[in-house]
Amino acid sequence: MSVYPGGPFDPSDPADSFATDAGAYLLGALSADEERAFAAHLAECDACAARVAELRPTIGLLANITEADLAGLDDAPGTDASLLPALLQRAASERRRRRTGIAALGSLAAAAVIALAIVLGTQPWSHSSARQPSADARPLVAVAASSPLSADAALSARRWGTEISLDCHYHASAYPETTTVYQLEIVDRSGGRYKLGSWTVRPSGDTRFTSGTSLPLDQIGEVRIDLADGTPVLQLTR
Amino acid sequence: MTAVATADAQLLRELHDEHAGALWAFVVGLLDGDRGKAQDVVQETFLRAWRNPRVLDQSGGSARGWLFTVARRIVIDEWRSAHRRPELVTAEVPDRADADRTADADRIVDRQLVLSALRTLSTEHRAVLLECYFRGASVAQAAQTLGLPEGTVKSRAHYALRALRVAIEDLGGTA
Repeated sequence: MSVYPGGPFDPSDPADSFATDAGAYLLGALSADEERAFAAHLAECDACAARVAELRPTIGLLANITEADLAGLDDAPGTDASLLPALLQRAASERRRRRTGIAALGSLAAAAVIALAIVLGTQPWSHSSARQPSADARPLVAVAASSPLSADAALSARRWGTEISLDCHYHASAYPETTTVYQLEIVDRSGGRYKLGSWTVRPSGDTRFTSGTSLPLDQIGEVRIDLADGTPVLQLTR
Repeated sequence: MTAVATADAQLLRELHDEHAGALWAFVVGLLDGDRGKAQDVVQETFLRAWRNPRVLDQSGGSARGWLFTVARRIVIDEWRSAHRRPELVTAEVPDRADADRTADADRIVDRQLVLSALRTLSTEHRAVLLECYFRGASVAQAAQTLGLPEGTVKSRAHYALRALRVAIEDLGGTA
């Protein structure tokens, strides 16, 4: 008899004669007698109860699929023949740019970040000590055309990960007086998103918000400030 | 071509040959058949893997799961930015429409993940799910249709569901 839930079973063992009934039970395919017997067995067999619990969500996911979907599974469209050549070409040109040291100014935002960093004479993302978190702070760039918020971000490598400090300024003169909730989000190198908390900015006065993540500094690809509904406001791409 | 450039091409070629078909079908499904957008998303996904190939080693042998997860995030980001309203800079409480959109997005993603997972199932497992789930057949009826003993239908139904569950998880979903 299987000793762990959902594990292998021995069909010759009478106690395991129910072991593969969970699937048919959840599919509603057992006869009335079998279903009654299995339901009674479930009450006293942890292994079978675990198998049923394990497979129940999978049945739930099938609810979005139709018989026609199943019949059409293998009619899925093939890739475009241009895919691989396009990939190789993009990779080659990226590699060339990196080799020759020409910065890839993919977007206006990236260009602006670099320009600002030069103007401010900062060493982008240098690891400063905890006492001077703003020494290497860099401005975040507005995503929307206009934003009442401006912010500088300082990222500091810590033994536990990365500390992120934001100095936020709300331009009250240009915008109606509102109290706004912002949230800090980072995107790692593989595109994973992490919410690092939210804070409120009031028109009067500047705000400092400090948060942290266990991600190492070199894994952070982007720092973003979003509205509470996820609309991006400011971002910093590394 | 330098050795580095050749190794680059080799990695992309391997990723493409092994995963492009499955990833393409998934992304085209997410984008409701828009092949142009799918081309952008699939290219970007492969390039992210190429830029940072360590992630493929770290993802527990499931490069495909990593690729599916990244592609899904790119598509969801595009959905979000399509609904951005830059003219409304002041914060609002997320409204009902946002919640609806999130629920819709989840449904679309789940559906395409399940379809991709079903594609990895054997014809035997698909056949038993077709009979017992989609056509509502009993074990006895399915045994008749498929020409199998009832015990085999039961165990196949069981293992088909388990295979589906594992396949969904391998693609980065939860089942």
